[in-house]
Amino acid sequence: MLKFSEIKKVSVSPPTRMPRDRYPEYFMLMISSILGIMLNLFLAILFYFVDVMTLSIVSILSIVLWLTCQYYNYSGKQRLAIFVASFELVSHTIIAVLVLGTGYGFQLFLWASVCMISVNPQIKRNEAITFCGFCLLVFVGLHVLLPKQTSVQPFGQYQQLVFIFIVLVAAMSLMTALVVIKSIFIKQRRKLEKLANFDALTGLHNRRFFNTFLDIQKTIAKREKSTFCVALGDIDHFKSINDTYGHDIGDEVLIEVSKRLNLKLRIDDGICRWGGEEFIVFLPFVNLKQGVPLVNKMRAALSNETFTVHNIRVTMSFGVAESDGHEKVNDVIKRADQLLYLAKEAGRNTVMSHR
Amino acid sequence: MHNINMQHTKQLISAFLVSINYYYHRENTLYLRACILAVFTHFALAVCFILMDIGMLGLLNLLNIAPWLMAIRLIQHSRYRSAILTMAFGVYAFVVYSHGYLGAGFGIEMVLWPLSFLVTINARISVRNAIYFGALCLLTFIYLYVFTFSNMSVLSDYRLYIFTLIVALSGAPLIIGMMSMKHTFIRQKAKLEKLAHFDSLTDLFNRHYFYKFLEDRKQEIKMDRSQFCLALVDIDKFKEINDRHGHDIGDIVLKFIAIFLKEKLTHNQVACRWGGEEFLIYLPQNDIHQARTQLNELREGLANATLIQGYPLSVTASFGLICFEASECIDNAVKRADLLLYKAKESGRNRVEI
Repeated sequence: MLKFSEIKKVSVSPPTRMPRDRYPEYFMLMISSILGIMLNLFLAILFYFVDVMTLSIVSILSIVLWLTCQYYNYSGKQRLAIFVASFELVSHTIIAVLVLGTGYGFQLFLWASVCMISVNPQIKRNEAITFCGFCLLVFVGLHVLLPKQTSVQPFGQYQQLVFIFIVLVAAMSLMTALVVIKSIFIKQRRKLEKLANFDALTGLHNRRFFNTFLDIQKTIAKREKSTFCVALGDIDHFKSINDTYGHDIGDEVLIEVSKRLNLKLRIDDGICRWGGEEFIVFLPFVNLKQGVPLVNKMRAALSNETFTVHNIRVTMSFGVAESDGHEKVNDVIKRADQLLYLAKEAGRNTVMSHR
Repeated sequence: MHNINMQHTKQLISAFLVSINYYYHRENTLYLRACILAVFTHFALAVCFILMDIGMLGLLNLLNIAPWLMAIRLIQHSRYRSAILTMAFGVYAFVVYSHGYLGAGFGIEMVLWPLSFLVTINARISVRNAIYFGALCLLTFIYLYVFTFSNMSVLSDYRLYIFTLIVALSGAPLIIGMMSMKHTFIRQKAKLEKLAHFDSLTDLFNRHYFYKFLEDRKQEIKMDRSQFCLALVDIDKFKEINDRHGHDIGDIVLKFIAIFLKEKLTHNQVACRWGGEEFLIYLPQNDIHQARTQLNELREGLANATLIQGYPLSVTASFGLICFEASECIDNAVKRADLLLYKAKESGRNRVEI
């Protein structure tokens, strides 16, 4: 059996180009590198002016590390880039707190790195747990072992302002990142729901959705003691359309058929693309007598006018079955299928509702 | 056979529903566990504080159980958004009164960091609410950390242990929450890829994805100046099978052929479902005659295979095999293969035409 992972290996794109599904991660890492470089540039200049040379040099080294991170990110090695970035965060934090004490809040960047590592899809679970545990341990250690203020007091009375600045930078950059991740997540979920429930070509509901939909409608009909109709329609001679005009014209015909059928639906009717050229129309709260004229209207909507592509005349045959909800949905569809077969036998472009 | 197939479809549908609701189920159990844990923690803390003669704090901790019980109720009624906000404010209140009573130095204010992150990442909380709550947490943190002082002497001997405990107890939910988010994210992505790239009936690549795949391969051979083979496969008299045996047997035939192709093709040959009963196979080899011998073996294997145990049905397929060069467009190549296929059908079916 061909496994998904193996296929992925075959179809991997050349390394010069970024794989499409990695764009969000690439983008996030790029933004954080730019932010990191800017912040460190600012800190380097700031510490240079207040004469804390150690931290100024560390900031410049950090810029180099962030550039390395962005380089790895650019060449598609996201995992390595993340490790470089988190190494920078943790080591920079430790050095800054060692020099200045905990009062400036540099250790709070550790929360940010814990968050980023544990939410990143590229990092494995055990690695994430180890790294986060290490970060928390360092956090506690820094708080407990080091004083709030050391002998180096570069900012004097402005210490609190620097603290607030650091807190805002650490929290806000991370929160923005989390909001972006969340919006990607929600977008992905919407896309998933759309892909799972709708047919890609025609935009109608697909078979998978309709199976559950019909099950629900069946129970409603049973409870309300009403009947519903299911019409199974099949485009006549679709194979020959495909063969004479080609598959792309066949696709366009399918799209136009679904549009025309959709126009004739009442507001609570349902329609789905059941198979290749088969459609199912669901008509709630009607019996056969009321349902057949509705389906006939749909049939007429197709056969009365030629199609926009190549002026083809497309007709459709329907089999309509009624049910009161006391039988399986599959049995109703099966009956409709048999009626559809009869309609095809009877010369096509017809609606067949009983034998 | 028919019954088994129907049952299979049903299982597929329920599996699908579970997968769509998976996130919600997971969420449900996660929140419920957090609530129950919080109720027990507050109760234990209350007992501890009362034993230590800090009765006021004990009472407040007992009162703090109320929002968590309310959250449990809300979760049971599927009102997750309200439940999350209730939980968040429960933690927030705990931080404020404990800090106010015990004073600085115990690291109670640190809880606000994981709290604000967890609220921000939650998919049910809107961005605006997340920003409001995050700002509230941040301002409270700055106030508590900068402008308050240590005033409690009873517990100050245990300062180290309490600090460690608080960081661990607030760090663990943060890590668990973030990782569960990541887990659903990865699962969703895999599912999305599967839905977008694969045909749901046969589990082969679908036409849309295969087209892109072939475009990529075309770029590759353009660089290498080589070529590859493409084979279009059509099941003989499939319409007849459908009409005589029913659509579900037709589906089984398609599934069978998909599995058959997957088994017989080597790892770098890839098949896709091109249309209703048409399959397209990508063969990376240069030599068309070698490909032809392989396909002939495949064709014979298919003709001799028993599809369904105890059901008199055998299928054959016709093949149109072409050699693809980089200068050609893919549509054109498939059209060429289609013509060959037509020729194969004309000259008696069950054959490979090149």
